[in-house]
Amino acid sequence: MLTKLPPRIIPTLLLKNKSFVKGSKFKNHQYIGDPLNIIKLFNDLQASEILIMGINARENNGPDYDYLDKISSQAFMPLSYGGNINNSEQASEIISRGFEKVVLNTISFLDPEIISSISEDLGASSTVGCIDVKKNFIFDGYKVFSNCGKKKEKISPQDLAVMYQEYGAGELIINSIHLDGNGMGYDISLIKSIAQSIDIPLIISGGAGGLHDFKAAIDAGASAVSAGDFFVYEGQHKAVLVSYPDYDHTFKLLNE
Amino acid sequence: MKVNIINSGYGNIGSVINMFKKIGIESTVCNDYKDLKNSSHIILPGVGSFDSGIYRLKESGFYDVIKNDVKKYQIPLLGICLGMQFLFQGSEEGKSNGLGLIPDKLEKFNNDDTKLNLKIPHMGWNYVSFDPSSRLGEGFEDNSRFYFVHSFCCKKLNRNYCHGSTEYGITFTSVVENENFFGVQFHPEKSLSFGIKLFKNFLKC
Repeated sequence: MLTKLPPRIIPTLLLKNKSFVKGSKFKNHQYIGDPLNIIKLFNDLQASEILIMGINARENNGPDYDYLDKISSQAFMPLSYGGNINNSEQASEIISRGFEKVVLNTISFLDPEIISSISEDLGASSTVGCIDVKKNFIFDGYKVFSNCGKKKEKISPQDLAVMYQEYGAGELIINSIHLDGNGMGYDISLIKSIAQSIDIPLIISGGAGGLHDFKAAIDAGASAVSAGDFFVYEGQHKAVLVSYPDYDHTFKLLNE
Repeated sequence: MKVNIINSGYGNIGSVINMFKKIGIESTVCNDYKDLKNSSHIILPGVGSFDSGIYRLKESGFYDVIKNDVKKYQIPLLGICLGMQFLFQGSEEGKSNGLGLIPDKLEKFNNDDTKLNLKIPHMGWNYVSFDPSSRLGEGFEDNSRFYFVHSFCCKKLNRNYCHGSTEYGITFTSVVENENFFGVQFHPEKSLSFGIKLFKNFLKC
């Protein structure tokens, strides 16, 4: 890891219809705010990149391209989008709307060849594989889920990571569903075990409560860190407050 | 002021238009080389592969107009990412001749160069050290950062045109300036306030 490069600290924002929402363990989503306003705030706060997940794109029969257009017109940083992307045409459409990367999840279980065709069309650097994983505390094992955490899959997270890489994904994002919204820190052993099995960059998401969690994740082998609550809530009662850590302070901390 | 953006068929020009809007400047997308008439500034974006991009520039007539009229009338032109690479003589990525407005060729990032396990493409934020004489780099501090996505780069640091460089295992030319031709390897339109400042500097040229 080249720690001297600027750190990648990525707010993940969940898009439901035309609102940003946030939940816990992928459930109980609460309204956070108007996406266009929130994106403007993240511009002013100098957020280095943003990930938007359309969590009900499936019910709406696909991504809301026109609304994604509106979002990207306000965002002067790199953007990724995930949510019901099922083919190369949809992925290209997202890119043409001002997004840099598409995030694939459920389709990878139905037809992994789609990962390759998207990677060939748009480039590996625009193709991100997503792994939603839940820890089973009784058996100390991990289970992979698709369909926004609703459908259990048979593959292990490590094998899925390798599969994404083989099919041409340029990076991976791992969501720890069991830690989503709890602020107790990332799953460090999960980062280590997946980072060891792949060469492509790994973004970890789920559990960040403070800057020290970002450092722990990067030290464990993550190339980038992502969070939801950390950027949109303040205090134990979770009052909505959009924030982003100061660049110089974060850079110093991560390079200590 | 009339800012024209060349639509060579590829690339995401929406973000460039939006950033000009943010600055308060209307920009126009040009699909035909004839639309470049009366430009005060020209933007040449580009995403995709070197050969396919050059092919489209030739097919649409932009290639000859840039080489001849834009040079003759000294209209400031800014190439972005692959658009900057088009200004060179050629690239290891393809067989086509570039515009030849910057001498030298692009080469692929190579892990052997660096002895480091660097990921290619070079994708993400990185720093640019501008030469004090750089017109695009006016007023930037040392830690100015920009968003990069590329696999090929100019490894020569030729003082005649290299006005800014970036380190990624090796040091490569990330800013070129040669008379009215300017180019940046990064994406200013995705580089927050740093990109806005760079576009403003370009509009002063």
